[in-house]
Amino acid sequence: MDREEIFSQIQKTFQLEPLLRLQEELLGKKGKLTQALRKIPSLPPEERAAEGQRLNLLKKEVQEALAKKSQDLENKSNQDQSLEYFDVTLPGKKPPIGTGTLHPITQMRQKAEEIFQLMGFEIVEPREVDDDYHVFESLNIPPGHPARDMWDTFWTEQGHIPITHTSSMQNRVLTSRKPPIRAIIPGKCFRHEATDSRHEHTFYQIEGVLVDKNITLTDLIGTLVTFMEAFYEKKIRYKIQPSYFPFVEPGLEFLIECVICQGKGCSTCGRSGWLELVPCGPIHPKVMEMANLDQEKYSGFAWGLGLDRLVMIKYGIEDIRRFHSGDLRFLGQF
Amino acid sequence: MRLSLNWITDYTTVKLKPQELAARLSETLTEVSQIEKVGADTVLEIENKALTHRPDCFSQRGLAREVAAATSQPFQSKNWAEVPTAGSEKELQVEVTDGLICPRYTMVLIDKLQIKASPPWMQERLLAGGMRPINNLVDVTNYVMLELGQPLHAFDYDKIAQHHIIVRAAGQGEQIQTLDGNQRALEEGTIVITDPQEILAVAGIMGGASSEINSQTSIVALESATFAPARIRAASTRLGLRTEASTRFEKGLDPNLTEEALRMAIDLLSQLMPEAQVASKIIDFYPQRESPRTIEVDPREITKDIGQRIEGGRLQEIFEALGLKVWVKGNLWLVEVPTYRRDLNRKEDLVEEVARIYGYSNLKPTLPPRDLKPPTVNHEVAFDRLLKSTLASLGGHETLSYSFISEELIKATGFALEDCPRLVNALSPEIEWLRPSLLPSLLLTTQTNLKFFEQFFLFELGKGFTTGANQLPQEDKLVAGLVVGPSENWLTFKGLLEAFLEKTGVGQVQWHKGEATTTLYHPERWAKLISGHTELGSCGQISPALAKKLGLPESTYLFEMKVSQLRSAFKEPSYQPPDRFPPVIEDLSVLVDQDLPAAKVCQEVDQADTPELQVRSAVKEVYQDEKMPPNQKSVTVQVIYRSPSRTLTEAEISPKREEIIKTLEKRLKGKVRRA
Repeated sequence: MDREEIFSQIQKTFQLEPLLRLQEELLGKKGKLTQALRKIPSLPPEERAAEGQRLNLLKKEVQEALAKKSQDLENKSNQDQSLEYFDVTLPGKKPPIGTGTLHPITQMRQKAEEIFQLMGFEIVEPREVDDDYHVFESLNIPPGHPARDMWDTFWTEQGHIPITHTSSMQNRVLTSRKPPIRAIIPGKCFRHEATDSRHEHTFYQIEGVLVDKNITLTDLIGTLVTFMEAFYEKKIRYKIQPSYFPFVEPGLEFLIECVICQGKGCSTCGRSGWLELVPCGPIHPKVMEMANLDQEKYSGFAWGLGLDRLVMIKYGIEDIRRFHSGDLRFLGQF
Repeated sequence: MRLSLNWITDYTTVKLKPQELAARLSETLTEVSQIEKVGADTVLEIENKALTHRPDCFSQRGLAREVAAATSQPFQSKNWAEVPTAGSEKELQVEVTDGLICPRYTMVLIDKLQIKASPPWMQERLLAGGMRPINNLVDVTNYVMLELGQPLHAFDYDKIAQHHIIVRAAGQGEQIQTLDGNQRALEEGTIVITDPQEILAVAGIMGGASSEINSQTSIVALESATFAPARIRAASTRLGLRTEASTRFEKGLDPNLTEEALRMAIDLLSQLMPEAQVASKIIDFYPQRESPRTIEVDPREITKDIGQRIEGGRLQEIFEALGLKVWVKGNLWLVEVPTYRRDLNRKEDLVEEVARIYGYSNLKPTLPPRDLKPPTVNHEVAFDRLLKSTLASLGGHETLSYSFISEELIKATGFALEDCPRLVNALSPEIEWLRPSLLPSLLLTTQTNLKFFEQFFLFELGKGFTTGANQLPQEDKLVAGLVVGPSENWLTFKGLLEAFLEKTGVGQVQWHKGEATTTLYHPERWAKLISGHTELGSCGQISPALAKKLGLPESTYLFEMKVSQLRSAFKEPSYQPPDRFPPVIEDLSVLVDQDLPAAKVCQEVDQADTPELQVRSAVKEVYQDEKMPPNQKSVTVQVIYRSPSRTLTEAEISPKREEIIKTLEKRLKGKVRRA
């Protein structure tokens, strides 16, 4: 009777039933230990005492070990007993349908919306297809205006436009509310452009508009800086470039130092060190006029923030077409 | 637009290195996208798109003025000699039919030309400006255009019939062969330059082949004019012709430039061809002379709009550097704007001039004042978020798909094509129609995803469109989902939808078995979801035919609901205190006709409900076996008896149970299996 072997067997037994079987094999009526003890009287007299003492001690130790193991096993819950060995590294079983995800554009939109809401902006949603007046004319882009070239437009048979920017809601927001007006307009936009890894005919934008008494150019800058710092949760470096958009005067481009390379120049920022993120500017007097706002009393500003770009920068997404691919290998990662 | 550093030194001193100047102009004018060495010259590539309102910047002189103002260097203007009166005047008649399409038309004749190559200095500058040298005459016209921004056009004088130029709008069906050899049909209204016999040029865009200059040309008629920008733009768009000239004309040129440009051209030609002679007076059609505008402004308003105090002296400096003049009139300033700055019309325009030259980086950010009022909550957006996060928490992956789909897919899924708005300029047939539903897109996405996954749940919240008669299309926010996988069945799918509706607070939904046959759903296995009197939407298993057509498994389940309807069915939770007295819960099995909806049993049981002895039931199990009579099934419902005031005894429940059993037997012809 090898002592080591017996204890190793007890050790390797993880379920109650095999343990009971083992107990029977060792200590039952026909058990190995029982039989060995029975054989003692037939041993030569000089060995009897020592062997008897050894076997009795072993029997006692085995009984204790079995009792302890049996108690351990009872303490485990029933399901655990199916495990031969408790392997923490085995993969868990997920619900069959798996875990869900929100589209990264939705997540980013919600994050931006929450910050703007805290800053006092209400959320207004645009129409997806609108008329020429709201997409262009009310934004100081009359028919034939060369600035129309800045937007490549889809048209429906009825002459309506899948919106080229969510500024299409600006006139409605300005005419349906009394100052102070603070609103953001997040939505889906369209441009007539063939797709490739960097161009997409469907994209997302958050327009912002604010009208109140004594609104200044420095207020516009401060508002955008405040948002960007809340969004990236750190101090940012920014700069402003003159640009041209007919619905603001002056037309500006708000750039932040590339958050990927900290301004050193990388592929995300086109080696310039700067990210062109927000076209913006004080609302053009003609836009104010078309919204019947008293310009002696009020002034304001507006901007258009591109959501797709924010998401691409954040996750280093290399191909803008992923957004509308519906590919679970993409969506499942967020 | 290309800025030649060599060229602008004619007007100002450039002290900054090219990189520094590019950075400064990026702040004061617009983005400088590239710096390029061209021979001994350095060229800055200036982004065009932000200069739509600045035709003056489509010239080296205009850019030089910007550089001077941005770097606080003086700007030196050039003057050209008066045109010498010709000794031998040639005959020329100019007739403009409409001053609205052509506010100014100037022309001069030059005789004794010697056409040859232009000198190297001129060729170098043309190349820096992005133009190919051709011959001294053409090069002079291009040189003037690049320097002043005024395009010129040269006609062969001898090819002008009766030496009579007419500027008019094209009528119907007129044609011209342009310089590039193409025969072009002109749209009615296109401005054309003609003689009494034929069209000589498409005004502001391209000349015609018939009056083209060649080496035999000895007398040239040089045109320098201003055309209505919208007409030029429309014509160049329609003809698909974008030229250096049309780019400038369509921005609206300063009419006071035309004569100056002719004088510069004459000056250059006399340098390049000493024998050349001016052979006419400058013929000038200019009925409505434009003078500098004056803007009356309170300088304090300018700094107030900017939001930062800037010294009056600095404001005046900035205006004068840009070529504006300032007269102080008490508290007000009269700011005179030269006619080449056609973009400056009001105070706001002056604010921009100050802000950009002062430097946006020198402005200290501030925040608008605001009260403590929280913004108005957009409940619709909040509800969308609830729907989306609930679907994601139930295992759904949110997709965003195009709002446009193909005719084929609309038809395949059984939607009415005639109700869908169509794009006239779709990029491809796959994205030509505004979608009536989100399900077609989800089905397409599923096809692709099945290559990599066998079981999944996709959803989308977006808009569906219906054509409105002569008005904007109707847009409905929809929420749709698709579940596919070998272990999916109707009940797991329904359970998912029930969880979704419960979690989003859409109460009391009835499931009506779909009756009509649809293209989308399995004829037997689909349902309408109704809450109160509103139809929320529909759901069901995919039709086997559609599954086959799209190569999808039959265990594909779909739903689509209108978000507005879900929102109107939304109910805040209505709180009920937990039972004070223990309920009595028991099962009740009844044999009924196999076609009876199980919910009917519960409806009948719940009839026994009274305020003092409340009865609620729920289906627990339905089964059929061979021991039952044919066409019968067993429905087991769990019945819960409650009392708000006491612990119920068997003596109280027993008559209630008997009442229920009687109802079931009578109303459903059921046979209750007594325990």
